[in-house]
Amino acid sequence: MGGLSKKAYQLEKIRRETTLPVLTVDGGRLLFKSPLLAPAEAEEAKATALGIAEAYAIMGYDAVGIGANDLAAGPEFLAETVRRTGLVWLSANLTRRSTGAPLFPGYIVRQAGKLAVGIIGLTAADAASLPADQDVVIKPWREVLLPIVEKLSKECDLLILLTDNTQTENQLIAKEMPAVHLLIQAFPSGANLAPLQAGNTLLCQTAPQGKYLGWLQVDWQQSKSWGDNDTARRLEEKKQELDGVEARLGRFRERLAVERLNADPGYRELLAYRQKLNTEIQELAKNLNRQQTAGSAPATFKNSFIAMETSLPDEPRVRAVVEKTKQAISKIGNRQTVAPLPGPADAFIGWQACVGCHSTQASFWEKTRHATAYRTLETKSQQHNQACLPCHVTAGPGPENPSRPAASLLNLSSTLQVVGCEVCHGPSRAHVADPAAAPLPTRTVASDICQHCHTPDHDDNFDYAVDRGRIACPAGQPAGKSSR
Amino acid sequence: MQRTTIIRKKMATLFILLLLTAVVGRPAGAATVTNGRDLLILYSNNVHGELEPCG
Repeated sequence: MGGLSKKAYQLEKIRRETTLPVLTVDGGRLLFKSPLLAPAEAEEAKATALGIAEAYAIMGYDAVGIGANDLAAGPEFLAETVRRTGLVWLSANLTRRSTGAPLFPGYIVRQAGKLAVGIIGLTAADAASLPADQDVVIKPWREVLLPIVEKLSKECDLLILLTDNTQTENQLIAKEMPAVHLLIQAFPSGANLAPLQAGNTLLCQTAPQGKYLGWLQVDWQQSKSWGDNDTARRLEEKKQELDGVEARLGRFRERLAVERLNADPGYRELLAYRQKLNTEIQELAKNLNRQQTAGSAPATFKNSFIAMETSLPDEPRVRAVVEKTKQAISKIGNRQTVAPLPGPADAFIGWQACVGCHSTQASFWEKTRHATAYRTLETKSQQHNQACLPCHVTAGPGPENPSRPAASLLNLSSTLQVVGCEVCHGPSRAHVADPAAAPLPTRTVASDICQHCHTPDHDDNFDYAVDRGRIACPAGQPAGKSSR
Repeated sequence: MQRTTIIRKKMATLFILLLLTAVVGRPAGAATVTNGRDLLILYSNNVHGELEPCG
């Protein structure tokens, strides 16, 4: 799931089909996977980030919060994305260390239908995300937020905060800033969260990686406070009940002749009940109207999550940006001077070396998706994407070397351009040279080996107990060995 | 001539009334909440995001 061109298609479709005013926002942390860039990965990561910013601008985002990771290439790079794409980044607490001046706008006010909506950005105070040599500091939210919230409360009907803080921190913000009505959080938690009410603030978050789009329909009221509108709910229930009664009356009319209808006690009972329901509905509608006029009705919402299925069509302009960015990444990958694999790199020998002794297992493996993992990257022109490579080759980071830089995998020999035997069983050059002296490093594949790649982010359906059974090689003695 | 003057006077009065409505009806800085206004907010979380899935 996921993909920016799918999201763009969904956004366009929703905007086309709704009659409501629409605001589109993101909590931040969308450009880089970590707060610091390894030098070998920086150029490619920046090309990807620029593509993401360009796509977001095309998708018509009203505002995006600046998350800690978005500063990985420095605030100048972020400013460059503004110049090149016009994307609206917000942070109320990202400031110059020397002068205290903000680097980006802290908030904007958008008119959505009749509502003036204030949108504020807040960056998580993650010190690791700021280069020490830069004149930049992320101020604590308590130092900056209150005056902005007080100012906007006077000008706006509804206040939204975009932030990449943790949920615990956001609950504190909600407690201390009840005038923030909606908080959109961007944090790498694994799942969609049903909106959580903390005081008078609604905390909203979708699952990461852009796999879902949050859809929140707000019925905002003069009371400016969230609540369960009991009158509105009861009115809806009574209307549904009335629909049921009408259907039952219809069945009576189909079954009985007109002259017998009015004599039927069941029919007459239903008619009386319909009358009672109609009176109750009129009364509830009047009450609701009275509440709304007096400004005492609570604001209500409906929320759902829309999955970005791979079967969705692509939005052509964002598709073009994605293709252009992938080409740029390929160019960077092709001309990058690749450092040799550090550490026990040459300990990997490649799957062909295993076939001689383990032909049964090799034949089985060749039919699995592991055998075509690198080819799927080539099909989608992603074979130079350092974010993808580690899980589509042999010699990617594994338990024996978790920190191997992805750039070192750019020009592997073809025998390692596949998820081969050694990904599960460990580097085996020594074993091939002398099987008796060097046993296979990992004969039984533990869950942590699989979960290096089959993470919830990448494979949310992965079940070790089930999937290991599907991929495990068949038993069989190596060629040349007696089974006795 | 007289008729034109009357029309002009009426138009001027109408203009002043419109101006007054705009100024008095919506004082500066006041929130403009009326009842039951719907709004659709679309929100996303691209943390650990990518252009598209790898393969």
